[in-house]
Amino acid sequence: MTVPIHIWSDYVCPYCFLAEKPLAAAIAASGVETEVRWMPFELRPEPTPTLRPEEDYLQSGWAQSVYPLAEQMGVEIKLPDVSPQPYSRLAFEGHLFAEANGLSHEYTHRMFTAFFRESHDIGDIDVLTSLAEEIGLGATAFREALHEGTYAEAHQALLKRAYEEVQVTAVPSFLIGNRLLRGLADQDALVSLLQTVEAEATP
Amino acid sequence: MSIVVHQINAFTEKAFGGNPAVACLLDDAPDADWMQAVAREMNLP
Repeated sequence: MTVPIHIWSDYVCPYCFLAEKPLAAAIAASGVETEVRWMPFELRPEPTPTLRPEEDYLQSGWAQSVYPLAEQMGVEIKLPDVSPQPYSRLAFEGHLFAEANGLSHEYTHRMFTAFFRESHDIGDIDVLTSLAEEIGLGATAFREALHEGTYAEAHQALLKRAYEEVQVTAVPSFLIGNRLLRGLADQDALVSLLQTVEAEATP
Repeated sequence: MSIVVHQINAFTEKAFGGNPAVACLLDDAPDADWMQAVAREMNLP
């Protein structure tokens, strides 16, 4: 059977970017057939002030945790110098456009690399449109969808579900079958959970 | 629609190479005003 995986992430959370690699490796190693859906989560929805990279919270968090972990995992990452950090709502509305066009994974990866390797302001409609075009989405239609708020309501409905129904309070969070795993997990933990869920579902 | 979710607390278990799991935490529980604003936009109670 196909095991559904939902992963809640916020494009401004470095641990969500770091989660991509062990997740892909675990799916390949487990032999379990999966269907992954990337779900939106806003750690700081408008008008909550966003973080500033020059301040101590991010400086110390990256020095003590993000950089050592990324090095251990062999992932290139850099604290973006966009200040204050962007809101991620618009980028997530763009994700729904990408998902409707079969490019959810490509779009998600491009958001992470744009922010965490190239310090792009992923709250800016021009930046997002250019990134969308890079992965093969139609620039005019993409920009129009963001401008018109075509996916605004659908995005808010997914957020509401995350907050209220699944009660996500931290990202990344993985829902594998009906098991919710909070926080960045390594490949072994994910493989083990995938196999457990598959075994439980198999008559 | 509702789903039953079995929570796994990775914070107290081995998560990454034996380290405690790390995550980005929600700053505050979404406040009531924000949730109500969302509900209004969606024309829900």
